[in-house]
Amino acid sequence: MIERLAFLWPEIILFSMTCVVMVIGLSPNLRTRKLSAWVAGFGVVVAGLQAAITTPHADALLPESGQLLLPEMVMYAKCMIAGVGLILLLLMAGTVDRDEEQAIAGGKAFDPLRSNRAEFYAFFLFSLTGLMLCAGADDLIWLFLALELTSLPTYIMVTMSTNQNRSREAGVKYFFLGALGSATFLYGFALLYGGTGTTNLNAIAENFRQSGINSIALAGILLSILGLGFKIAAVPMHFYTADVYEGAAAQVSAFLAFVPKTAGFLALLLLTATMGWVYAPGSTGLSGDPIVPVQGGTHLPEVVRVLLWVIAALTMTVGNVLAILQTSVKRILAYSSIAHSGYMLVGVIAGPGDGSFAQNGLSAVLFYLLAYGVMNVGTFAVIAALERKPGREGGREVESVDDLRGLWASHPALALAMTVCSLSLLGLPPLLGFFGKLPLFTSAIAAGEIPLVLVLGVNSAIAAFYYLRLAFVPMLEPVDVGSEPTVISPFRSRKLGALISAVGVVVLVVIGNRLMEQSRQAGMYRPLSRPLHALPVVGSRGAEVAPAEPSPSLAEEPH
Amino acid sequence: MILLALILIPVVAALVVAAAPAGKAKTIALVGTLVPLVLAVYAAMAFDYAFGATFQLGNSGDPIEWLPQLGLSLSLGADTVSLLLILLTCLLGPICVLASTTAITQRVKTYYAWLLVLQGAMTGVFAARDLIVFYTCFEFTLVPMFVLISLYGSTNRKKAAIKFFLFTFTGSIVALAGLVYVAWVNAQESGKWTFDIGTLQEAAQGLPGWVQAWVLLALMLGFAVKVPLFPFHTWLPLAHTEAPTAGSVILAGVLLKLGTYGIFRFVLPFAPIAVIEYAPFIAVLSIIGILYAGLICWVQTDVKKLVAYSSVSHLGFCILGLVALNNIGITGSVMYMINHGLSTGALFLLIGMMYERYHTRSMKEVGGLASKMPVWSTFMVFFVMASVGLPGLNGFVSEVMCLLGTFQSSSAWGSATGSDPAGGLDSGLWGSAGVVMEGATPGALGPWFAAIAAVGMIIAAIYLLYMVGRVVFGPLVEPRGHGHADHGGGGGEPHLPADLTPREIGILVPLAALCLWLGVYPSPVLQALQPPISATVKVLDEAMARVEHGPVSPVRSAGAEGVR
Amino acid sequence: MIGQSSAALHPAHHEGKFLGQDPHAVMYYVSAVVGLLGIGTALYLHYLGRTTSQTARADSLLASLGPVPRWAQNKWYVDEFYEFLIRRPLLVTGHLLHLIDQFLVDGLVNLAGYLPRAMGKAIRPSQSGELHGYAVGMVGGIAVLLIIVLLATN
Repeated sequence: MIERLAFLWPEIILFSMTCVVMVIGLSPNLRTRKLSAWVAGFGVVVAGLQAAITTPHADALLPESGQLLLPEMVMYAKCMIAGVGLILLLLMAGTVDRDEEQAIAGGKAFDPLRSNRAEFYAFFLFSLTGLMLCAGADDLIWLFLALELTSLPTYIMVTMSTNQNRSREAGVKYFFLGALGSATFLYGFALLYGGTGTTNLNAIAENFRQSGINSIALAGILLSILGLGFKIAAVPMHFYTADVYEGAAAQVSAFLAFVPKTAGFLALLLLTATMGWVYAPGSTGLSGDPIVPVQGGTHLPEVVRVLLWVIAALTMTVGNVLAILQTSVKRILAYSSIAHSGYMLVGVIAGPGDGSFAQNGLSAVLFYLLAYGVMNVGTFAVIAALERKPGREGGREVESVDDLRGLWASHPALALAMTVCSLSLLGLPPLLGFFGKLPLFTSAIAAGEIPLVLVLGVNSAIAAFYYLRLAFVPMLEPVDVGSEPTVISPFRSRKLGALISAVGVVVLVVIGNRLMEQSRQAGMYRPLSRPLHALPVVGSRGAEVAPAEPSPSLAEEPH
Repeated sequence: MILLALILIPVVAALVVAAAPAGKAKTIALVGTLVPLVLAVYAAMAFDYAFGATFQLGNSGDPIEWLPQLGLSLSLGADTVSLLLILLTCLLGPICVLASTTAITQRVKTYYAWLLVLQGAMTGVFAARDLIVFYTCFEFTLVPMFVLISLYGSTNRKKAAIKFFLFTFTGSIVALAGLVYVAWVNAQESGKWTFDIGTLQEAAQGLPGWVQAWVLLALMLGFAVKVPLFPFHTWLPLAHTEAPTAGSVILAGVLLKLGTYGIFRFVLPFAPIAVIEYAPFIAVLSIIGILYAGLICWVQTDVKKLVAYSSVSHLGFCILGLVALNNIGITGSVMYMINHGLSTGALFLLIGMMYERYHTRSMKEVGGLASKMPVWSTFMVFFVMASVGLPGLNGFVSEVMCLLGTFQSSSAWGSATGSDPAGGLDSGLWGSAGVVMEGATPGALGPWFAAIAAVGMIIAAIYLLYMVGRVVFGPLVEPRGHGHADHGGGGGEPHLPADLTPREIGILVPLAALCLWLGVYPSPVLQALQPPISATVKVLDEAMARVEHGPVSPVRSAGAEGVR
Repeated sequence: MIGQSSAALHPAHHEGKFLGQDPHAVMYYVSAVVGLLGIGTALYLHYLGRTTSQTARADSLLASLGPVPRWAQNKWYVDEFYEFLIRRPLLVTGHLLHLIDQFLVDGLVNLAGYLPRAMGKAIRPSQSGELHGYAVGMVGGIAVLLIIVLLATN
């Protein structure tokens, strides 16, 4: 029990900061209220440092301390979450209470019931806490709770992000559909428990090794994957994405583009890691027999692989194809978000390969999450940093791509940031997006998924249709004479966030090797480095399966 | 490291242009392109031509590890072919800057900055010895070109820029898939991921024929769009016509050569068996391009579009020479790349000068300019003759070599001349100049190909002489309002004299001198090109030797090779 | 014949004979005789016996020669021949190819560019904004995907 705490310090710090923020934000003193954002930032930074310094390494793990399938992923994920979370925090300035604070400055009395600042930052930190908990989950129930802790605050953040009806509509849609998605993967988790008799991920993996995946567990896995598709905005759970991103404020959409997606992918990686990439191609198990791993197998079970393949191909295509028609910036970014999830699913299918970074699909996914987080937040940050006169339907926000015209003349730094981040999302070398996509390419080719690579390539090309518009309209187009000018938001930290992201897109390429090494280790699927136990050799169907010798470190039952 | 300097100096100059006031932009850009030119000339003198097949001037022996996790290294190096193309790029740099000084009056800083970045990227393509460095620079040239076309082009510029970007981008991604596949094959065999071109070349040559066929398809799709090869050429007339003058010069002079260079550097060495098998098919596409584009040129009224289609036609010859797969053909093709860059680049410059004065490119509105602009007309006729392939100018050298290579590229010729395939060549112009060409002929094409392609030479003469006849000679036709008396320019343009200014003459003279020199005395260049081209032909010969059991095709051999 | 080297095209030529004579010598004499005959005929028809500048003995032959003199005066219609057989067809072909390039080849390219947009328009109605529609889409999508996957792996 005490060993678990070693993993949980970052979350504990975040949680305590949340409590502090909730109290501070309710202070009648303006200066104290303003501190809440700084306290939140402090919490995120300390949590990140804590994760980097004190997370135990895989060698020091005991069975009860955490999940053993992707042990290095914990530290990498938490540091990444802290880093991107900090940039997101920069964007959150002035999201809620803007009009309220103006009224208070004009003489109105402070009413804690009306003020939302405390709750907003608290939810922000709650969500990040849940995300960090996802990374270290070793139990299905833990994973479920962490996923819910990640998502529930986001529902409310969406609703309170602006004072217009579109946010409330978006929040309601998000909540109901999110509940449906959660129900789906919870049902899957329940079936998984029913099929294996345990909720501990290590034990489930052990169970799969020894007795194969029986049909109930398989059904559970399929449903879980589909349910987690909601978090990552994969087909068929993608419908909410455009409406919710459009309805929320841009900075909250940035949050949605990173946090639930990361949560979904971490959970997906853990789930697929319980099965492992150790099956022969074509092992279906639909005749009722459990699917058994084989010596030298390199694939997921065929059913799961086909499901992920179809989801990946559909997600990429639907995302890109719908984005082409859009004129609203946030909807374009929402559909592009769907498409990028599709790209990352390719890495999940590819599997860990032989462990080297170029062949490790899991590392590719983790690296892409980081790269995508930085560049996507950059584009949303530019939107968040700009304003138009309030009173229009959309309130203050920049709505269509045409609103960005002439940005180079008025705010060249923001225009450059938009161009750099959009071209990076396109995957144009030498920006970060290309070096995020390249490992996905290489790992998929190494896994033999050539048709999927072609789909990935064609979709990247299709994406150019809309990314070109997004990248070059701010830079090249002159401003529309007679339309309202786009001015910069009074909350300067948003511009800072945009610039940090744009700089990150370029700089991370230069220091990319260290990050790649980190993500390679994070994606080290444990049975590659230290097998849980010897895999059975496949004979004829259902024939002699060698009895398993559990390794000494797993002698005790986890419970 | 000279190559790194050649890449970085223009980029640094671009940053300086962006930071400096607009009035200084031209000067900084000029300095930023002249310095690489001087360095390139120095590099050409420092180059060891006897070992032209090895990659010098860079760090390819000891590359900077950039992303070792993926096997990427910052590896640069140039053999003779790369060096010549880098020289071409560095030469066209200051020429383009000088050509734009009067044409570009608004958003000057953006223009020169992107032009400089473009030069750096193009140099990077030719100097790259790492696959991903190559691909990075290859793709990155799209961005400056997109900006140049969509900001400074003519009426239809947006559509042209988008089509250019999307078409080329799509092709390149397919090529990337092929290249990554080869890298994976190498990783499987050697256990280490690397993108070094030399290593991958050896790994790719060991692939079975049917796998090479797929690699060939992927790579050709990418490069065929860039060259362009029929039927992937439709972006080119639009892009060339709508681009500003310097943009067209760079596009025709260098950017198209990225595709042909890619075929030379990647398609031929990486998939030799497949190339031998499918050379006739590629040759047929080239010949269709030659004739088809040639005839379309003839019916054009827009001079720029005519020259654009003529690029398609001429580069058909270039590809034909490459897939002739013998020494003389490939040498002719490399020479063609240089010569086409010089002559067509100059043609676009001349058209641009005409456009600045008359604001029209239509042959219906402008004609017979010899009386008004004699110097311009002289240069026009000169470069048209170079483009047509008049003996004595550079076009002839490369065109005839490509045709000769195609003609000789048949198994009958190879066997008849026996063990000395260079026997028929020792006599004649190049033999007496001491150029010895070695290398067997794998024999994919033949006289029929050459005969039909040669008709293309006639068609080139038809449309180019037709164009020059109408625009230069004949009755003087000027658009209304642009007579010499009332030529004051509108919209704030500087007043341009009727005939060429010294600056304009100054940028045409080096090109003309090079055309003349390469036409009359090409043998030092041909001699210098022998080592790398012999190495390439050797690779093809070895592949030919492996194909003893007859042609291989993906369908037939898939069953034989079993599950991949 | 094409495959042979140039040496093969020229067998030892000093062995051939034409009617027992050296072929080159025959060539000289025949062409000389023909040339002299031609000069003589022209002299007779056009120079000798010419009384006025307009008329000559050749004029009286005009009627009996029929259309041949007219053909000769029109350069044997070689130019018109080239125009009809070569230039005009090539020009028409050029225009035709230009049209093919603009509409067929470019049309195919534009079609490839249009396809993603068309697919988008087809899928767009699914993003109706209605919550129940989305929910049905999600659950229905799950069902459809599971069916597809189970069918595909069966």
